[in-house]
Amino acid sequence: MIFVAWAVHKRSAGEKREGRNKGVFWAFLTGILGGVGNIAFFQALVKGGKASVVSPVTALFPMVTVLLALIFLKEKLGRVQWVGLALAFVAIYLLSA
Amino acid sequence: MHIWLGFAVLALVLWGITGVTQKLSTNRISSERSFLWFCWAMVALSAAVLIVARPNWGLGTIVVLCSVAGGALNGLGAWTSFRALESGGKASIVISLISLYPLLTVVLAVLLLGERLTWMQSTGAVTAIAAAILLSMEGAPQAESSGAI
Repeated sequence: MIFVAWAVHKRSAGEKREGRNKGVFWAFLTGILGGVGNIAFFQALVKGGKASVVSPVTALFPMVTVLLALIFLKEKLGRVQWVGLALAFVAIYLLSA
Repeated sequence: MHIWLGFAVLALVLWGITGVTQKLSTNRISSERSFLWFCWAMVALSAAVLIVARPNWGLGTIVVLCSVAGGALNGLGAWTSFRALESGGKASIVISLISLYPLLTVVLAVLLLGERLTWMQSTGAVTAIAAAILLSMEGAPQAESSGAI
């Protein structure tokens, strides 16, 4: 943490002040969401999920990122990503069997 | 549905959202400052868990050491991912590499924890990793977005 604080001091000169607050907000939100995600991950293991199964399930998180980009950023999905999305649902079914 | 699967899907959803928020953060501030605020959020969350859940403190040394090592490795991974995004890495590429982590977890779980997977689960694990790679591949060039919100 001390090293990171030092690095922030050294590298903060180039940051624009108006964007800093928004950047901090998004970083803080990332921490909260990531932290709650970690708690859910631990709970999945505590409730009997195998590490070798829970880990691949959670690794499908790009599925959510892609869907968010599709809905909120109005991005279009490539054919490969549609195949990936379909495979993700198949994987969740297989892993939960 | 298994309870553990519900929690795993919750983690998947929350981490999926962080794929976007991480990029929005490093678009505006340095990876170090992003990481620092990421850590403060973790500290705040940990304090909340401490107050609400009142965890059991009677833990063995090995358990505590494994937990500390897990947290430290997790933090280092978060920092390097912020750094990768800040240094020009596209979210889609960076996320594709990060989402390959189960390759290591599955091997370690089988070797160190002695876990055994059914045929269906093994197929599912391979399918999940393939899906994660395909999902993270970039879409059509005309569909690209700046990601600015």
